[in-house]
Amino acid sequence: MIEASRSTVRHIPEDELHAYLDQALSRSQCVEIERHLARCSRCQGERDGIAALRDRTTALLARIGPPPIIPPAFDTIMARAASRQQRRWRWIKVGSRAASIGGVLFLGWWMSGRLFLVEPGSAIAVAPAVVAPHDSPRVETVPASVTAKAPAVSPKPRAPVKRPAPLQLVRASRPVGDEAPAATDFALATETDPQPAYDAATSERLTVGGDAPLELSDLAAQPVGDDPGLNGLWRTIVPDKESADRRGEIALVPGLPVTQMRVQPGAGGDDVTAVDQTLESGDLIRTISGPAPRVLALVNEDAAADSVNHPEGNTNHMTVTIRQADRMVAVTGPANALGSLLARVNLKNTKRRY
Amino acid sequence: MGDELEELYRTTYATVVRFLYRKVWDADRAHDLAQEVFIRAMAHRPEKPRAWIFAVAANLARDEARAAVRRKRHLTLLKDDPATMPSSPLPADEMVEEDERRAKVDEALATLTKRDREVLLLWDAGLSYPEIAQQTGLAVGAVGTTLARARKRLVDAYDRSEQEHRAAHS
Repeated sequence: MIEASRSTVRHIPEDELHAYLDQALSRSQCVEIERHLARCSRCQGERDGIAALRDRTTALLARIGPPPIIPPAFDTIMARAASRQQRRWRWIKVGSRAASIGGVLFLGWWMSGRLFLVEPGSAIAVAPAVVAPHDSPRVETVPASVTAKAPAVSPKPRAPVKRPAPLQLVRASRPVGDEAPAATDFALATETDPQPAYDAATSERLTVGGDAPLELSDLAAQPVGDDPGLNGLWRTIVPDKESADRRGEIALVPGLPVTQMRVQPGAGGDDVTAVDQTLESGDLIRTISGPAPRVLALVNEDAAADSVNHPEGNTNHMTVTIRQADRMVAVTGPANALGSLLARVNLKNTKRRY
Repeated sequence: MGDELEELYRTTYATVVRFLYRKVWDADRAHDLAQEVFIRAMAHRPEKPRAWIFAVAANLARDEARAAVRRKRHLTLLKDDPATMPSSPLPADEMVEEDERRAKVDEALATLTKRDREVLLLWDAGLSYPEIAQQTGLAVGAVGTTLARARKRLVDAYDRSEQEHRAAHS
Protein backbone atom coordinates (compact mmCIF):
# COMPACT_ATOMS: atom_id res chain seq x y z
CA MET A 1 0.00 0.00 0.00
CA ILE A 2 2.56 2.51 1.06
CA GLU A 3 6.10 2.22 -0.10
CA ALA A 4 9.02 4.25 1.09
CA SER A 5 12.53 4.21 -0.18
CA ARG A 6 15.51 6.50 0.07
CA SER A 7 14.80 8.18 -3.23
CA THR A 8 11.01 8.20 -3.53
CA VAL A 9 8.10 8.15 -1.10
CA ARG A 10 4.74 6.80 -2.15
CA HIS A 11 2.00 8.67 -0.38
CA ILE A 12 -1.34 7.35 0.70
CA PRO A 13 -3.82 7.24 -2.20
CA GLU A 14 -6.88 9.42 -1.84
CA ASP A 15 -9.39 6.61 -1.89
CA GLU A 16 -7.52 4.86 0.88
CA LEU A 17 -7.67 7.97 3.00
CA HIS A 18 -11.41 8.07 2.43
CA ALA A 19 -11.68 4.43 3.42
CA TYR A 20 -9.44 5.09 6.41
CA LEU A 21 -11.65 7.94 7.63
CA ASP A 22 -14.74 5.85 6.93
CA GLN A 23 -13.25 3.09 9.11
CA ALA A 24 -13.47 0.67 6.25
CA LEU A 25 -9.92 -0.67 6.47
CA SER A 26 -8.52 -3.56 8.40
CA ARG A 27 -6.59 -3.04 11.57
CA SER A 28 -3.24 -3.75 9.92
CA GLN A 29 -4.00 -1.30 7.11
CA CYS A 30 -4.92 1.37 9.66
CA VAL A 31 -1.67 0.80 11.54
CA GLU A 32 0.31 1.14 8.33
CA ILE A 33 -1.46 4.34 7.34
CA GLU A 34 -1.10 5.89 10.77
CA ARG A 35 2.60 5.04 10.76
CA HIS A 36 2.97 6.84 7.46
CA LEU A 37 0.87 9.80 8.53
CA ALA A 38 3.03 10.26 11.61
CA ARG A 39 5.99 11.20 9.45
CA CYS A 40 4.39 12.56 6.25
CA SER A 41 3.09 16.09 6.50
CA ARG A 42 1.77 16.02 2.95
CA CYS A 43 -0.49 13.07 3.67
CA GLN A 44 -1.54 14.68 6.91
CA GLY A 45 -2.75 17.69 4.96
CA GLU A 46 -4.45 15.42 2.51
CA ARG A 47 -6.18 13.59 5.33
CA ASP A 48 -7.40 16.84 6.89
CA GLY A 49 -8.75 18.02 3.57
CA ILE A 50 -10.61 14.76 3.02
CA ALA A 51 -11.96 14.86 6.55
CA ALA A 52 -13.30 18.35 5.91
CA LEU A 53 -14.79 17.24 2.60
CA ARG A 54 -16.37 14.30 4.32
CA ASP A 55 -17.88 16.45 7.04
CA ARG A 56 -19.14 18.92 4.51
CA THR A 57 -20.78 16.21 2.48
CA THR A 58 -22.49 14.96 5.58
CA ALA A 59 -23.68 18.44 6.43
CA LEU A 60 -25.01 19.05 2.92
CA LEU A 61 -26.84 15.78 2.83
CA ALA A 62 -28.31 16.51 6.24
CA ARG A 63 -30.04 19.54 4.73
CA ILE A 64 -32.04 17.40 2.43
CA GLY A 65 -33.42 15.15 5.07
CA PRO A 66 -37.14 14.86 5.62
CA PRO A 67 -38.94 16.65 8.42
CA PRO A 68 -38.49 15.24 11.90
CA ILE A 69 -39.40 11.59 11.91
CA ILE A 70 -41.73 9.93 14.37
CA PRO A 71 -41.69 6.28 13.45
CA PRO A 72 -44.84 4.29 14.00
CA ALA A 73 -44.78 1.68 16.73
CA PHE A 74 -43.13 -1.56 15.77
CA ASP A 75 -46.32 -3.38 16.74
CA THR A 76 -48.10 -1.51 13.98
CA ILE A 77 -45.62 -2.79 11.43
CA MET A 78 -45.94 -6.32 12.81
CA ALA A 79 -49.73 -6.16 12.66
CA ARG A 80 -49.65 -4.98 9.06
CA ALA A 81 -47.18 -7.70 8.14
CA ALA A 82 -49.35 -10.34 9.81
CA SER A 83 -52.47 -9.06 8.09
CA ARG A 84 -50.76 -9.17 4.72
CA GLN A 85 -49.54 -12.70 5.38
CA GLN A 86 -53.06 -13.80 6.23
CA ARG A 87 -54.41 -12.30 3.03
CA ARG A 88 -51.70 -14.05 1.07
CA TRP A 89 -52.53 -17.43 2.65
CA ARG A 90 -56.21 -16.86 1.98
CA TRP A 91 -55.51 -16.34 -1.70
CA ILE A 92 -53.24 -19.37 -1.79
CA LYS A 93 -56.02 -21.44 -0.24
CA VAL A 94 -58.61 -20.18 -2.68
CA GLY A 95 -56.27 -20.75 -5.59
CA SER A 96 -55.34 -24.25 -4.57
CA ARG A 97 -58.95 -25.19 -3.96
CA ALA A 98 -59.96 -23.85 -7.34
CA ALA A 99 -57.12 -25.77 -8.94
CA SER A 100 -58.20 -28.95 -7.15
CA ILE A 101 -61.78 -28.60 -8.30
CA GLY A 102 -60.61 -27.88 -11.81
CA GLY A 103 -58.39 -30.92 -11.75
CA VAL A 104 -61.15 -33.14 -10.48
CA LEU A 105 -63.54 -31.82 -13.10
CA PHE A 106 -60.99 -32.48 -15.80
CA LEU A 107 -60.31 -35.99 -14.59
CA GLY A 108 -63.99 -36.67 -14.30
CA TRP A 109 -64.50 -35.53 -17.87
CA TRP A 110 -61.41 -37.35 -19.08
CA MET A 111 -62.33 -40.64 -17.54
CA SER A 112 -66.03 -40.47 -18.23
CA GLY A 113 -65.79 -42.78 -21.20
CA ARG A 114 -63.21 -45.31 -20.13
CA LEU A 115 -65.30 -48.45 -19.82
CA PHE A 116 -67.00 -49.99 -22.76
CA LEU A 117 -69.02 -53.03 -23.48
CA VAL A 118 -68.34 -55.61 -26.10
CA GLU A 119 -68.96 -54.45 -29.61
CA PRO A 120 -70.84 -56.98 -31.66
CA GLY A 121 -68.56 -58.96 -33.83
CA SER A 122 -65.55 -57.66 -32.03
CA ALA A 123 -64.33 -58.82 -28.72
CA ILE A 124 -65.54 -56.00 -26.55
CA ALA A 125 -68.25 -53.40 -26.19
CA VAL A 126 -69.40 -51.05 -23.52
CA ALA A 127 -72.43 -52.09 -21.61
CA PRO A 128 -75.36 -49.77 -22.02
CA ALA A 129 -76.05 -50.58 -18.44
CA VAL A 130 -73.16 -48.42 -17.46
CA VAL A 131 -74.97 -45.35 -18.52
CA ALA A 132 -78.65 -44.89 -18.12
CA PRO A 133 -80.63 -41.68 -18.25
CA HIS A 134 -81.99 -39.78 -15.29
CA ASP A 135 -79.45 -41.16 -12.89
CA SER A 136 -76.93 -39.49 -10.75
CA PRO A 137 -73.62 -41.15 -10.10
CA ARG A 138 -72.47 -43.18 -7.21
CA VAL A 139 -69.30 -45.06 -6.40
CA GLU A 140 -69.01 -48.31 -4.59
CA THR A 141 -66.19 -50.48 -3.51
CA VAL A 142 -66.70 -54.16 -3.75
CA PRO A 143 -64.75 -57.22 -2.87
CA ALA A 144 -62.54 -58.51 -5.58
CA SER A 145 -63.47 -62.09 -6.13
CA VAL A 146 -67.01 -63.01 -6.81
CA THR A 147 -69.08 -65.92 -5.63
CA ALA A 148 -71.94 -66.79 -7.92
CA LYS A 149 -74.82 -67.43 -5.59
CA ALA A 150 -77.09 -64.71 -6.74
CA PRO A 151 -80.67 -65.49 -7.56
CA ALA A 152 -82.14 -65.06 -10.95
CA VAL A 153 -83.38 -61.63 -11.81
CA SER A 154 -86.56 -60.79 -13.60
CA PRO A 155 -86.12 -59.23 -17.00
CA LYS A 156 -86.14 -55.53 -17.12
CA PRO A 157 -85.89 -53.58 -20.31
CA ARG A 158 -83.32 -50.91 -20.37
CA ALA A 159 -84.11 -47.45 -21.58
CA PRO A 160 -82.17 -46.11 -24.51
CA VAL A 161 -79.32 -43.86 -23.57
CA LYS A 162 -78.45 -40.68 -25.37
CA ARG A 163 -75.66 -39.28 -23.31
CA PRO A 164 -73.60 -40.35 -20.34
CA ALA A 165 -74.79 -39.54 -16.92
CA PRO A 166 -72.37 -37.61 -14.69
CA LEU A 167 -69.68 -39.81 -13.29
CA GLN A 168 -68.12 -39.93 -9.91
CA LEU A 169 -64.45 -40.18 -9.41
CA VAL A 170 -62.98 -42.15 -6.59
CA ARG A 171 -59.39 -41.85 -5.66
CA ALA A 172 -58.23 -45.21 -4.43
CA SER A 173 -55.31 -45.22 -2.07
CA ARG A 174 -53.98 -48.71 -1.82
CA PRO A 175 -51.85 -50.39 0.74
CA VAL A 176 -48.31 -50.71 -0.48
CA GLY A 177 -47.81 -53.96 -2.27
CA ASP A 178 -44.91 -55.50 -4.08
CA GLU A 179 -45.89 -53.99 -7.37
CA ALA A 180 -48.06 -51.19 -6.18
CA PRO A 181 -47.12 -47.99 -7.96
CA ALA A 182 -47.01 -44.61 -6.32
CA ALA A 183 -49.75 -43.30 -8.53
CA THR A 184 -53.35 -43.17 -7.51
CA ASP A 185 -55.98 -45.23 -9.24
CA PHE A 186 -59.39 -43.94 -10.02
CA ALA A 187 -62.72 -45.60 -10.20
CA LEU A 188 -65.74 -44.33 -12.00
CA ALA A 189 -69.31 -45.05 -11.24
CA THR A 190 -72.75 -43.80 -12.01
CA GLU A 191 -75.74 -44.60 -9.92
CA THR A 192 -78.60 -43.10 -8.03
CA ASP A 193 -78.36 -44.92 -4.75
CA PRO A 194 -78.27 -42.29 -2.03
CA GLN A 195 -76.33 -44.56 0.30
CA PRO A 196 -72.80 -45.02 -0.93
CA ALA A 197 -71.11 -48.24 0.01
CA TYR A 198 -67.81 -46.62 0.88
CA ASP A 199 -67.08 -45.15 4.21
CA ALA A 200 -68.63 -41.73 4.19
CA ALA A 201 -66.49 -40.65 7.09
CA THR A 202 -63.42 -40.69 4.93
CA SER A 203 -64.96 -39.07 1.92
CA GLU A 204 -64.78 -35.50 0.78
CA ARG A 205 -67.87 -34.40 -1.07
CA LEU A 206 -67.69 -31.67 -3.64
CA THR A 207 -70.51 -30.26 -5.67
CA VAL A 208 -69.64 -29.91 -9.30
CA GLY A 209 -72.18 -27.89 -11.15
CA GLY A 210 -75.82 -28.85 -11.43
CA ASP A 211 -76.99 -31.70 -9.32
CA ALA A 212 -74.14 -34.06 -10.01
CA PRO A 213 -72.13 -34.58 -6.86
CA LEU A 214 -68.50 -35.39 -7.36
CA GLU A 215 -66.95 -37.32 -4.55
CA LEU A 216 -63.47 -38.25 -3.52
CA SER A 217 -62.94 -40.99 -1.02
CA ASP A 218 -60.36 -43.48 -0.05
CA LEU A 219 -60.93 -46.88 -1.52
CA ALA A 220 -59.46 -49.73 0.40
CA ALA A 221 -57.82 -52.23 -1.87
CA GLN A 222 -59.88 -55.33 -2.05
CA PRO A 223 -58.15 -58.67 -1.92
CA VAL A 224 -58.61 -61.16 -4.68
CA GLY A 225 -58.01 -64.84 -4.29
CA ASP A 226 -55.29 -66.53 -6.22
CA ASP A 227 -57.88 -68.82 -7.73
CA PRO A 228 -59.96 -66.73 -10.06
CA GLY A 229 -62.69 -69.29 -10.36
CA LEU A 230 -66.28 -68.32 -9.74
CA ASN A 231 -68.58 -70.40 -7.62
CA GLY A 232 -72.09 -71.18 -8.63
CA LEU A 233 -73.69 -72.39 -11.80
CA TRP A 234 -72.15 -70.80 -14.80
CA ARG A 235 -72.34 -71.59 -18.44
CA THR A 236 -69.32 -70.96 -20.53
CA ILE A 237 -70.12 -69.22 -23.77
CA VAL A 238 -68.13 -68.81 -26.93
CA PRO A 239 -67.81 -65.15 -27.78
CA ASP A 240 -67.62 -65.70 -31.50
CA LYS A 241 -70.88 -67.57 -31.62
CA GLU A 242 -72.92 -65.99 -28.94
CA SER A 243 -71.72 -62.47 -28.75
CA ALA A 244 -73.74 -61.71 -31.82
CA ASP A 245 -76.83 -62.40 -29.77
CA ARG A 246 -75.59 -60.30 -26.94
CA ARG A 247 -74.70 -57.15 -28.70
CA GLY A 248 -73.73 -54.46 -26.32
CA GLU A 249 -74.60 -56.52 -23.29
CA ILE A 250 -71.36 -58.13 -22.32
CA ALA A 251 -69.09 -55.79 -20.46
CA LEU A 252 -65.37 -56.30 -20.74
CA VAL A 253 -62.20 -54.37 -21.28
CA PRO A 254 -61.38 -53.87 -24.93
CA GLY A 255 -57.97 -54.72 -26.25
CA LEU A 256 -57.29 -57.66 -23.96
CA PRO A 257 -57.55 -61.31 -24.92
CA VAL A 258 -60.60 -63.05 -23.49
CA THR A 259 -59.74 -66.25 -21.75
CA GLN A 260 -63.18 -67.15 -20.55
CA MET A 261 -66.68 -65.81 -20.92
CA ARG A 262 -69.42 -67.18 -18.70
CA VAL A 263 -73.03 -66.46 -18.12
CA GLN A 264 -75.43 -67.12 -15.29
CA PRO A 265 -78.89 -66.96 -16.80
CA GLY A 266 -81.55 -64.81 -15.28
CA ALA A 267 -85.21 -64.55 -15.79
CA GLY A 268 -86.19 -62.85 -18.97
CA GLY A 269 -82.70 -62.98 -20.34
CA ASP A 270 -81.31 -60.56 -17.79
CA ASP A 271 -78.17 -62.58 -17.30
CA VAL A 272 -75.04 -62.02 -15.28
CA THR A 273 -71.93 -62.29 -17.37
CA ALA A 274 -68.38 -62.77 -16.21
CA VAL A 275 -65.54 -62.17 -18.63
CA ASP A 276 -61.96 -63.12 -17.74
CA GLN A 277 -59.16 -61.43 -19.62
CA THR A 278 -55.44 -61.51 -19.16
CA LEU A 279 -52.92 -58.75 -19.08
CA GLU A 280 -49.52 -59.04 -20.67
CA SER A 281 -48.17 -59.67 -17.21
CA GLY A 282 -50.44 -62.69 -16.92
CA ASP A 283 -52.66 -61.10 -14.31
CA LEU A 284 -56.38 -61.61 -14.55
CA ILE A 285 -58.90 -58.90 -15.29
CA ARG A 286 -62.44 -59.94 -14.56
CA THR A 287 -65.47 -57.95 -15.60
CA ILE A 288 -68.84 -58.94 -14.17
CA SER A 289 -71.98 -57.25 -15.38
CA GLY A 290 -75.65 -57.71 -14.90
CA PRO A 291 -78.47 -56.60 -12.66
CA ALA A 292 -77.06 -54.55 -9.86
CA PRO A 293 -78.48 -56.53 -6.94
CA ARG A 294 -77.09 -59.76 -8.31
CA VAL A 295 -73.68 -58.37 -9.09
CA LEU A 296 -73.51 -56.67 -5.72
CA ALA A 297 -74.60 -59.82 -3.94
CA LEU A 298 -71.95 -61.78 -5.78
CA VAL A 299 -69.14 -59.49 -4.86
CA ASN A 300 -70.27 -59.11 -1.27
CA GLU A 301 -70.60 -62.80 -0.68
CA ASP A 302 -67.30 -63.41 -2.29
CA ALA A 303 -65.65 -60.79 -0.15
CA ALA A 304 -66.59 -62.71 2.95
CA ALA A 305 -65.37 -65.96 1.48
CA ASP A 306 -62.19 -64.39 0.30
CA SER A 307 -61.38 -62.88 3.67
CA VAL A 308 -61.60 -66.37 5.14
CA ASN A 309 -59.45 -67.95 2.45
CA HIS A 310 -56.91 -65.15 2.43
CA PRO A 311 -56.94 -63.54 5.86
CA GLU A 312 -53.71 -61.70 5.07
CA GLY A 313 -55.40 -60.18 2.06
CA ASN A 314 -54.14 -59.64 -1.41
CA THR A 315 -53.39 -55.96 -1.41
CA ASN A 316 -52.35 -55.88 -5.00
CA HIS A 317 -55.85 -56.13 -6.42
CA MET A 318 -58.83 -53.90 -6.41
CA THR A 319 -62.31 -53.77 -7.77
CA VAL A 320 -64.06 -50.92 -9.48
CA THR A 321 -67.80 -50.93 -9.81
CA ILE A 322 -69.94 -48.86 -12.08
CA ARG A 323 -73.57 -48.76 -11.35
CA GLN A 324 -76.30 -47.11 -13.31
CA ALA A 325 -79.87 -47.61 -12.27
CA ASP A 326 -80.47 -51.37 -12.09
CA ARG A 327 -77.26 -52.35 -13.88
CA MET A 328 -73.81 -52.79 -12.49
CA VAL A 329 -70.41 -53.56 -13.89
CA ALA A 330 -67.61 -54.73 -11.60
CA VAL A 331 -64.04 -54.81 -12.87
CA THR A 332 -61.41 -56.58 -10.80
CA GLY A 333 -57.72 -56.66 -11.49
CA PRO A 334 -54.25 -55.69 -10.30
CA ALA A 335 -54.44 -52.35 -8.62
CA ASN A 336 -51.36 -51.06 -10.35
CA ALA A 337 -52.75 -51.85 -13.78
CA LEU A 338 -56.39 -50.95 -13.43
CA GLY A 339 -56.04 -47.20 -13.72
CA SER A 340 -53.73 -47.26 -16.72
CA LEU A 341 -55.82 -49.99 -18.25
CA LEU A 342 -58.93 -47.87 -18.11
CA ALA A 343 -57.05 -45.00 -19.67
CA ARG A 344 -55.83 -47.26 -22.46
CA VAL A 345 -59.34 -48.43 -23.06
CA ASN A 346 -60.50 -44.93 -23.60
CA LEU A 347 -57.76 -44.17 -26.09
CA LYS A 348 -58.70 -47.11 -28.19
CA ASN A 349 -62.43 -46.54 -28.06
CA THR A 350 -63.36 -43.03 -28.87
CA LYS A 351 -66.82 -43.85 -30.07
CA ARG A 352 -69.32 -44.04 -27.35
CA ARG A 353 -72.45 -45.99 -27.71
CA TYR A 354 -74.73 -43.59 -25.95
CA MET B 1 -35.09 -12.69 14.58
CA GLY B 2 -38.09 -10.68 15.65
CA ASP B 3 -36.04 -8.93 18.31
CA GLU B 4 -33.30 -8.27 15.81
CA LEU B 5 -35.75 -6.75 13.38
CA GLU B 6 -37.36 -4.72 16.10
CA GLU B 7 -34.01 -3.36 17.17
CA LEU B 8 -33.10 -2.66 13.58
CA TYR B 9 -36.40 -0.91 13.12
CA ARG B 10 -35.77 1.37 16.06
CA THR B 11 -32.24 2.22 15.05
CA THR B 12 -32.64 2.33 11.27
CA TYR B 13 -36.14 3.51 10.48
CA ALA B 14 -35.20 7.19 10.44
CA THR B 15 -32.17 6.45 8.30
CA VAL B 16 -34.24 4.48 5.84
CA VAL B 17 -36.76 7.29 5.61
CA ARG B 18 -33.98 9.77 4.99
CA PHE B 19 -32.43 7.49 2.40
CA LEU B 20 -35.75 7.17 0.65
CA TYR B 21 -36.57 10.82 0.97
CA ARG B 22 -33.44 11.74 -0.94
CA LYS B 23 -34.66 9.57 -3.74
CA VAL B 24 -38.36 10.31 -3.86
CA TRP B 25 -38.32 13.84 -2.40
CA ASP B 26 -41.59 13.35 -0.63
CA ALA B 27 -41.59 12.89 3.13
CA ASP B 28 -44.92 11.12 3.34
CA ARG B 29 -44.05 8.82 0.50
CA ALA B 30 -40.69 8.11 2.08
CA HIS B 31 -42.46 7.11 5.29
CA ASP B 32 -44.85 4.86 3.42
CA LEU B 33 -42.05 3.17 1.55
CA ALA B 34 -39.97 2.74 4.69
CA GLN B 35 -42.87 1.00 6.40
CA GLU B 36 -43.35 -1.14 3.36
CA VAL B 37 -39.70 -2.13 3.54
CA PHE B 38 -40.01 -3.26 7.15
CA ILE B 39 -43.28 -5.07 6.51
CA ARG B 40 -41.57 -7.02 3.77
CA ALA B 41 -38.63 -7.70 6.05
CA MET B 42 -41.04 -9.17 8.60
CA ALA B 43 -42.37 -11.54 5.97
CA HIS B 44 -39.03 -12.50 4.40
CA ARG B 45 -36.85 -12.64 7.51
CA PRO B 46 -33.63 -11.96 5.62
CA GLU B 47 -30.33 -13.26 6.90
CA LYS B 48 -28.66 -9.89 6.66
CA PRO B 49 -31.56 -7.61 7.44
CA ARG B 50 -29.71 -4.33 7.37
CA ALA B 51 -28.28 -4.77 3.89
CA TRP B 52 -31.53 -6.34 2.74
CA ILE B 53 -33.58 -3.41 3.97
CA PHE B 54 -31.53 -0.86 2.08
CA ALA B 55 -31.54 -3.00 -1.04
CA VAL B 56 -35.32 -3.23 -0.97
CA ALA B 57 -35.58 0.46 -0.16
CA ALA B 58 -33.45 1.27 -3.20
CA ASN B 59 -35.64 -0.92 -5.38
CA LEU B 60 -38.83 0.64 -4.08
CA ALA B 61 -37.39 4.10 -4.62
CA ARG B 62 -36.49 3.13 -8.17
CA ASP B 63 -40.02 1.95 -8.81
CA GLU B 64 -41.33 5.11 -7.26
CA ALA B 65 -39.13 7.22 -9.50
CA ARG B 66 -40.53 5.45 -12.56
CA ALA B 67 -44.05 6.05 -11.33
CA ALA B 68 -43.17 9.69 -10.70
CA VAL B 69 -41.99 10.03 -14.28
CA ARG B 70 -45.33 8.71 -15.45
CA ARG B 71 -47.16 11.11 -13.15
CA LYS B 72 -45.01 13.95 -14.37
CA ARG B 73 -45.97 13.19 -17.94
CA HIS B 74 -49.58 13.23 -16.88
CA LEU B 75 -49.17 16.54 -15.10
CA THR B 76 -47.43 17.96 -18.13
CA LEU B 77 -50.49 17.15 -20.12
CA LEU B 78 -52.72 18.68 -17.47
CA LYS B 79 -50.60 21.79 -17.39
CA ASP B 80 -51.79 22.72 -20.82
CA ASP B 81 -55.33 22.60 -19.56
CA PRO B 82 -56.30 26.11 -18.31
CA ALA B 83 -58.83 24.64 -15.94
CA THR B 84 -56.14 22.84 -14.01
CA MET B 85 -53.69 25.69 -13.73
CA PRO B 86 -53.40 27.40 -10.33
CA SER B 87 -55.02 30.76 -10.06
CA SER B 88 -51.82 32.44 -8.93
CA PRO B 89 -48.31 31.00 -8.78
CA LEU B 90 -46.46 31.09 -5.51
CA PRO B 91 -44.39 34.25 -5.12
CA ALA B 92 -40.67 33.59 -5.18
CA ASP B 93 -40.06 35.51 -1.99
CA GLU B 94 -42.14 32.99 -0.06
CA MET B 95 -39.57 30.35 -0.59
CA VAL B 96 -37.69 30.05 2.67
CA GLU B 97 -33.98 30.05 2.86
CA GLU B 98 -33.92 26.45 3.94
CA ASP B 99 -35.75 25.44 0.83
CA GLU B 100 -33.24 27.32 -1.28
CA ARG B 101 -30.38 25.53 0.32
CA ARG B 102 -32.10 22.26 -0.06
CA ALA B 103 -32.77 22.97 -3.68
CA LYS B 104 -29.10 23.66 -4.22
CA VAL B 105 -28.12 20.41 -2.64
CA ASP B 106 -30.69 18.70 -4.80
CA GLU B 107 -29.17 20.26 -7.86
CA ALA B 108 -25.68 19.34 -6.73
CA LEU B 109 -26.75 15.76 -6.16
CA ALA B 110 -28.32 15.71 -9.59
CA THR B 111 -24.95 16.47 -11.16
CA LEU B 112 -23.57 13.18 -9.85
CA THR B 113 -23.75 10.04 -11.85
CA LYS B 114 -26.38 7.57 -10.80
CA ARG B 115 -23.82 5.22 -9.32
CA ASP B 116 -21.93 7.96 -7.47
CA ARG B 117 -25.18 9.26 -6.02
CA GLU B 118 -26.27 5.80 -4.96
CA VAL B 119 -22.98 5.07 -3.24
CA LEU B 120 -22.97 8.43 -1.52
CA LEU B 121 -26.51 8.04 -0.21
CA LEU B 122 -25.90 4.50 0.94
CA TRP B 123 -22.78 5.62 2.78
CA ASP B 124 -24.73 8.46 4.35
CA ALA B 125 -27.38 5.96 5.42
CA GLY B 126 -24.70 4.18 7.40
CA LEU B 127 -23.96 1.17 5.24
CA SER B 128 -20.49 -0.29 5.38
CA TYR B 129 -18.24 -0.58 2.36
CA PRO B 130 -18.97 -4.30 1.91
CA GLU B 131 -22.71 -3.63 2.16
CA ILE B 132 -22.47 -0.83 -0.38
CA ALA B 133 -20.42 -3.06 -2.64
CA GLN B 134 -22.97 -5.85 -2.39
CA GLN B 135 -25.85 -3.59 -3.22
CA THR B 136 -24.25 -1.68 -6.04
CA GLY B 137 -22.22 -4.48 -7.57
CA LEU B 138 -18.98 -2.63 -7.08
CA ALA B 139 -15.83 -4.21 -5.73
CA VAL B 140 -15.23 -3.30 -2.12
CA GLY B 141 -12.01 -1.61 -3.11
CA ALA B 142 -13.85 0.57 -5.60
CA VAL B 143 -16.26 1.95 -3.02
CA GLY B 144 -13.63 4.27 -1.56
CA THR B 145 -12.71 5.57 -5.01
CA THR B 146 -16.36 6.15 -5.89
CA LEU B 147 -17.04 7.85 -2.59
CA ALA B 148 -14.04 10.12 -2.99
CA ARG B 149 -15.22 11.20 -6.42
CA ALA B 150 -18.85 11.62 -5.33
CA ARG B 151 -18.00 13.75 -2.32
CA LYS B 152 -15.77 15.99 -4.33
CA ARG B 153 -18.31 16.43 -7.10
CA LEU B 154 -21.13 17.14 -4.69
CA VAL B 155 -19.22 19.82 -2.83
CA ASP B 156 -17.87 21.34 -6.02
CA ALA B 157 -21.32 21.48 -7.57
CA TYR B 158 -22.79 23.04 -4.47
CA ASP B 159 -20.03 25.65 -4.22
CA ARG B 160 -20.47 26.51 -7.87
CA SER B 161 -24.17 26.98 -7.31
CA GLU B 162 -23.51 29.22 -4.33
CA GLN B 163 -21.11 31.36 -6.31
CA GLU B 164 -23.60 31.73 -9.14
CA HIS B 165 -26.27 32.66 -6.65
CA ARG B 166 -24.07 35.29 -5.03
CA ALA B 167 -23.06 36.68 -8.37
CA ALA B 168 -26.69 36.95 -9.39
CA HIS B 169 -27.57 38.91 -6.25
CA SER B 170 -24.52 41.17 -6.18
